[in-house]
Amino acid sequence: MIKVTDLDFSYKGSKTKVIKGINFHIKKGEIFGFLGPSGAGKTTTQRIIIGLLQEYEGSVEIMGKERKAWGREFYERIGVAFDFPNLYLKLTALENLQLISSYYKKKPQDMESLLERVGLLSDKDKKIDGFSKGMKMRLNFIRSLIHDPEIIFFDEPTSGLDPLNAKIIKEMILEMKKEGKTIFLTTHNMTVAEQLCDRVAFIVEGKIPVIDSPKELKVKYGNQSIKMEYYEGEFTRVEEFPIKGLKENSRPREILKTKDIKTIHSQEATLEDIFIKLTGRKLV
Amino acid sequence: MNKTLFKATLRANWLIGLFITLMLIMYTSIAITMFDPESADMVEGMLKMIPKGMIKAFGFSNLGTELTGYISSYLYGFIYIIFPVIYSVIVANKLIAKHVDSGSMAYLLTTPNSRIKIAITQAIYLASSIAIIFIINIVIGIILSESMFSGLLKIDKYLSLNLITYLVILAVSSIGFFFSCLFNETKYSLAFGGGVPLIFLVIKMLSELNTDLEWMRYMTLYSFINIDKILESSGYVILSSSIILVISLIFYILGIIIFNRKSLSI
Repeated sequence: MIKVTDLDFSYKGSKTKVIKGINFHIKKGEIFGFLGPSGAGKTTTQRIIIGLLQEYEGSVEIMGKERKAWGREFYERIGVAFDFPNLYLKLTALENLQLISSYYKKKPQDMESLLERVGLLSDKDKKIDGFSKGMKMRLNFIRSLIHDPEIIFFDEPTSGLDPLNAKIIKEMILEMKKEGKTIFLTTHNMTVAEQLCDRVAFIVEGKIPVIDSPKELKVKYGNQSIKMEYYEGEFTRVEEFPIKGLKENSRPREILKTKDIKTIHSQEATLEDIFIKLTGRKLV
Repeated sequence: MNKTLFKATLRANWLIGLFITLMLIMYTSIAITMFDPESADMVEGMLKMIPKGMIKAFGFSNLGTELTGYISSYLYGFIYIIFPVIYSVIVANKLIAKHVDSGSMAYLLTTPNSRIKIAITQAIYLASSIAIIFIINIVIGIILSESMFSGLLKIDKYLSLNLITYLVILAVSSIGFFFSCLFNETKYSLAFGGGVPLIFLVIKMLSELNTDLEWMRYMTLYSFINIDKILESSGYVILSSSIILVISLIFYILGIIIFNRKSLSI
C-alpha cells in the first residue's frame, strides 16, 4: 500500500537533512506505528507521504503510484487526523462534519453514528468553542473518517483523552483494520503502539534503526527477569534474576526458603525499554 | 473557486464585515443628514478656525455647498479609507497566514482542494466582500440623498468616486493578501500587511500637511483618490482605475503564485 525507498528530505534554506535515507513498506490492512521522540522526523515523514511536503528525494509509492504523480483525487482515498484538533469554532460539531464532507465527492458516512460512537451525539448541535480538548480530539478523529478513506494517518490519536475515550478510539482503529483499511500511526506513546500496531518503526534523527512487530522486538531485545522483594529485619530489599538460567540459579530458592517475601513479579521489557536500548534516546 | 470554503470563510468573517459596513453607514448617514447648503457659510467659518494643514490632512478641504463635493470631502478623504483599510488588513491576514499559522491549512490541504483553488477562493472572498461593503453604502448614500435632497447628488460622479476608492482599497487588500501568502506566521503577515497601508496613510497626511512634502503624494496609493480630479474628469477616472486595477491584480496573482510554490511550515 505504501512503499518508501531511500527517502531524503531537508527543509528549504537548510542544508541539514531531516530524513536520511529511510526505507519501509506498509501492507494493506496493516497498522504501522511510527515511533520516535519529538523532532525525530515522524511528522515530516508523514507529511511527505500525505503530500504536504513535496521536495523530497527518493521514492514514496502509494497505492501503486509515486506520490508526486497523484493529483487531488489522492485525498479522496486518504484520511488524516493530526495531533492538533483544528475545527471551525463557530460551527457546531455536526456542521463541522457536514462542511468537511462537502469537500469530497464521495458520499459521507453516517455522521450521527460516528458522533454516537465517540460519545458526541448529544453535543452535535453545540458550537465547538465550548468543547473540551478531549471532545475536539474525538471530533477531529471522526472528521478524518467521514469520506470512508482507504489509508488513514493518525498523529497521536489518543492524546488528551481519558482512558475510557482512548479505549473507544483504539477499538475503532482495530475495527478499521478488520475492514481492510491501512493505518499509519505516528506516536510517542509506546503503550498505544504496543496495543495497536502490527509492526513499528523506530525513528531517531531521521533514520530508522529497526522495524518489526512489538512482539518480535521484545523477544529479540527484551530481557525477561523476576524481581523479588523481601524483608530483612526492618528493611525491604529487592533482587532481580534473569529468567534465562533461572533453574540453575540457587539464590532465588535461597531467598524463598530463608526470607519473608513481600512481592514477586515477572519483569518484561517494555517497547520503551527496547527503544532506549536500541537508540540510546528517550521518547520525550 | 471552492463554494464550501467560500461559505466557511464568510461564516468566519461576516461579523467584522458587518461592523465596518455599519460604521460607514453611520458616517454616510450623518454626513448626508448634516448637509445644509444654507449653512455653508457657517461651516466654512468653523473650518477657518482649524489649522489648514490639519483640515487637508483629514481630507475635509472642500466642504462646499454642492452635495456631491460635500459628501466627497467629508467622507472620502479619510473615513472611507481608514475603515475599509482596517477591514482589508485584518481579513487578508486571516484568509491565508492565520490558516497556515494555526495549522488549519494543513487540514484544508488534506482535502481535495489544491493550493491554487484555496488561494483563489480566499482572494475572491476578500475582493468581493470589500465590493459588497461599498455597494451597500453606495445604495444607502443614493437613497438618503435622493430622499432628502432630490436631484442634488451627481450620481455618476458619486459612482466614479466610489469606484476609485474601492479600487484603492482593493489594491491595499492585494498587498495584505500578498504578505499573507508570503509569510507563514501571522505576526509578520500582519506587520507588513498592516504596516504598508499605515505608511501610505502617514505619507498621504504628511504630503497634505506641508506643501514642501507635496512630492510625497506620489508615494502613496491613497493619492489616487483625488476628489477634485475625480469630480472634474472622467478621463482621470478611467486612467487611474486601470492603473490601480493592474496593481491589485499583480499583488493578488503574485500572492497566489507564492502560496502555490512555497514550503509551508505546517
